[in-house]
Amino acid sequence: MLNRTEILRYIGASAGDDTLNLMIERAEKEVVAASRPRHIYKHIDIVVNGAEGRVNLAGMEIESRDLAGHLDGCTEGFLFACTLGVGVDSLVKKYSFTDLPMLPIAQAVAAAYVEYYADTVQQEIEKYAKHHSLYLRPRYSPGYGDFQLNCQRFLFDALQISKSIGVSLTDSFMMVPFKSITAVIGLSKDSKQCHINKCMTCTTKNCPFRKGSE
Amino acid sequence: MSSIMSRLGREPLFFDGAMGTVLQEKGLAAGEAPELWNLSHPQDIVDVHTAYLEAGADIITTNTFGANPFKCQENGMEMEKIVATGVSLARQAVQQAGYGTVALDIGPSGKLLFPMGDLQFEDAVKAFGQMTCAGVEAGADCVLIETMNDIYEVKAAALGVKENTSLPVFVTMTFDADGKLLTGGDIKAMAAVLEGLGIDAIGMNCGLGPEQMLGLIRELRACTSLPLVVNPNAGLPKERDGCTYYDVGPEEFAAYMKEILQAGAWAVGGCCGTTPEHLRQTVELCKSLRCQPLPEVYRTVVTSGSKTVEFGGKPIIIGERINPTGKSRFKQALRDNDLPFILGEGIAQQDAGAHILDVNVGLPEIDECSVMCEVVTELQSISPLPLQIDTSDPETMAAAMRIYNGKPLVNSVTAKHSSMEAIFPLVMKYGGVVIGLTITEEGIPETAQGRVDAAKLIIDTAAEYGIGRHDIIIDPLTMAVSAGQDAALVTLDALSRIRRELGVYTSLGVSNVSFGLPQRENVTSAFFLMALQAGLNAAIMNPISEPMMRAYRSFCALSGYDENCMAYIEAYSQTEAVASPVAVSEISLREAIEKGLKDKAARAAEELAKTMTGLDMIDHEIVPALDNVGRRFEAKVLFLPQLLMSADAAKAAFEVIKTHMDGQASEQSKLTIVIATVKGDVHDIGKNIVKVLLENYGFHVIDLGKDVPPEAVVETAKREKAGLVGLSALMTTTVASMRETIELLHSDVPEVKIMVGGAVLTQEYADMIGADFYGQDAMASVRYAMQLAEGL
Repeated sequence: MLNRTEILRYIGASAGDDTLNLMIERAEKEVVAASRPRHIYKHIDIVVNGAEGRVNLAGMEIESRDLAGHLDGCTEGFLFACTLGVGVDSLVKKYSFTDLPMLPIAQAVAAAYVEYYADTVQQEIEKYAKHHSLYLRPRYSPGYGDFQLNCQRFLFDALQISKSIGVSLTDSFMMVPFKSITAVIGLSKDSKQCHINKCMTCTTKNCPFRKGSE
Repeated sequence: MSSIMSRLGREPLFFDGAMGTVLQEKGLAAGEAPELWNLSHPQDIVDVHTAYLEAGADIITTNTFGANPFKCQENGMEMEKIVATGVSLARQAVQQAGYGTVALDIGPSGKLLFPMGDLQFEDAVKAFGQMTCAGVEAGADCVLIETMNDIYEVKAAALGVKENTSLPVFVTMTFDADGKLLTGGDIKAMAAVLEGLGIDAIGMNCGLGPEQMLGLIRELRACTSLPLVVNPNAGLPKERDGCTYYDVGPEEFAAYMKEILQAGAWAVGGCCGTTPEHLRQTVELCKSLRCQPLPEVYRTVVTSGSKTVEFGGKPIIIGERINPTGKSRFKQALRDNDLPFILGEGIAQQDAGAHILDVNVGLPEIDECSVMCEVVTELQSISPLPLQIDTSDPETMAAAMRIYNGKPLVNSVTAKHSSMEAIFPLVMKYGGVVIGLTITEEGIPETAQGRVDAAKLIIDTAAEYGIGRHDIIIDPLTMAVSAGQDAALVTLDALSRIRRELGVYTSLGVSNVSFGLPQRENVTSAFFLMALQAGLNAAIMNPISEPMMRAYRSFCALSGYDENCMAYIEAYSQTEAVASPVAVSEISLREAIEKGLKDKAARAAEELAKTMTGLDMIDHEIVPALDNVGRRFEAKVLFLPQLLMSADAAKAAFEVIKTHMDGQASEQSKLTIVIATVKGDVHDIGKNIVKVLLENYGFHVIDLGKDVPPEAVVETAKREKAGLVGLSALMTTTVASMRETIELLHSDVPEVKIMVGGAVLTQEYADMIGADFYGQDAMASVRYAMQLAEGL
């Protein structure tokens, strides 16, 4: 079910061999067993002011040219959050103390799993979109481009994320449990989003996980 | 006794319903902090309270749910003012109505506690304490800690409140439909921990509607003798046009609340989605009901933050290996603060079948208290097993019981007055099940009767402190049979009499019985079986020992504790009946490391140690193998996991060398390296990997951990005369703090070299912030360190 190519890419491996594949299979079982996936999302109105590089999400003004560009043409959308829960952090930490070779594998598998889980939950939003003849933009998260990380606070308040799915923010706006996703999902009448890959709108050009750059 | 406590149980008491839901109808915007309305819309708040009082509420909760110091700071609010105003608005409503009790409402901090999150336990205790002081001073009658979803945080909150007031404290937590907290704890764990902390009434709120809560309340009722408080939502949340709503109406809600009272709750009210009308109908339907008597539940239970272990059924295995007594390698690990080794002992025992892990880190030359707290905290973050805190130092015991996540097993108290005076107050304050050793002022009684008397003294004295016998386990002490012919029989006799005559559970440290004899496991495992047969409930033992586990699993299968012998079959169907003798390693050490085969590397090293010195082994086998693997990693022929497997295999070989050199220092590089994940960043995986590889290459590495302030890096680099500092940052936002650290290093320790790494870094970035080297992967960092070391 999880995307093996993606997992290998996270590990930094160009191809899997027997050893790696066995380790990945073991990690998949353990990560899934340690996870307690939870999600929450909420429909919102979106007003994009492209000229000034601002977006209004459910009444909240956010300064971000990149987000404005990404949501261009959207008048509604969803705020979205999901997590695999604190058990995965604990598992990864356990590996770091007791079985180091499994550490990057479990990290990669958990990263793939949280994306998979987010995609699965997102299908509910896709149903809504289809029903209203709208199209989804890819998930766009605080920290992408100039969408400031401190905008996490807005998402956390609007979705009551701590209370509803047990994710909290550190003082530097990082999420714990680590394997958590927050995002804005825009909906528009046109389907032009297809070519936009979240990596391609990110300014971190040298990220080792960047897709399709070479 | 406060008036509310004297009414509790004599008649059903009613808490109010939702505050936020009603305020939203009055115009509170989504995302706006309701507590701000204490200052901006005071009359609206009084009106909500009044509406609930008129509907029949006995207890109204102040509008201070999110007014903890952390959230107040985020929202630019003054905590004391918001809380004090919240309480006085409730007081005002009570005064106008002429009746009612004001509960200071305390919700979760919104932060995850260390080590999984960044909120230190003591900071949490302090914050909840400050809120309590503000609320009590303003005139609250009692405290309601609510909507908690983490055992650890609820413990911090309970301590913060109870250390600052003697008012009644109620605690309700939020469960999902499976009866689990968001952090994984369950109903049993919650009941055990809150009973231990001396909470006056416990229960549930939010998350679920009354229908879903009913079954969970029955479960909770069965596992505690405390009064129950139940405040459900008006059903499960639903969504329409972007707005959350709840659709259980007042009449239906009231009908369920009647069932909840009949199931044993003593106080009920509502949470999200409930209104004064919900409460009015509930009061009308339920006010004449009689409170069910509290059940007498005396279970002997210890917990972690997520797992509960109950004594009295299948015998419990307490893993004994985290203990330096007689173990030079473990002592070394304590001196080196080698956490991976210590925690590894814990995980190995967990995998071998231990139910509880004993933690003893007593060594004269270390700071036992701080090491104990560190090991307990870190072990709890990777293992769900409850722990047994094992120390003879009362100060260490107090500190560890305080920061422990859950209700611990406490090892131990004796029948000496000084011991009981030191330990029982801690058990009363923090909760715990305490192991009572039958040692009196005169020493260990030689007869079974003497030990039964000692046990009785412990139990009676505990009762004077208010500690029930269900929170005591007696250990009648195992003595070496080589020193006294009837030593084992006296212990077994005392054991069965204590079980029978005093009605408490028992434990033994079994291995002492064979002290002084050859092939000790023969005698120890036989004694273990005899003790189990005599009614032993828990054994402190080595679960890695196969003879012991064979005895245990066989006993469980034969005594009806192993359904269909499944556990026995699972353990033994795949293994050969007789363990084959240790095979001579079939491949060379070098090959084993290159292939990443840990066990084979250890065996090969054992072989080589017979003919080769440790230094030769390092120079001619280990380092060339690691180099070869490193090159293949750089050439992208193999990848990070394989590199780490080789590192692990090399580490196993180093362990063998260490044992053979017996304490002599191995050759270590002159280069000392300080590494840290910078302030603000809590991602430490990459840094940890770099650390292991550097250590493999013989470097002395001081790891400062994550979220490390620049001053700490500078101070350590200076003190340790480090030649190299490695800094890691994962996020763009924390690169700023990396730059700050580098600037401080440049000005205060200009001679030290600085290497940086992390996902967002590049060579340009590294140059820009003034680093000497950019490590694009773990091997690159090793190469750089080697290059520096050569220049020394």
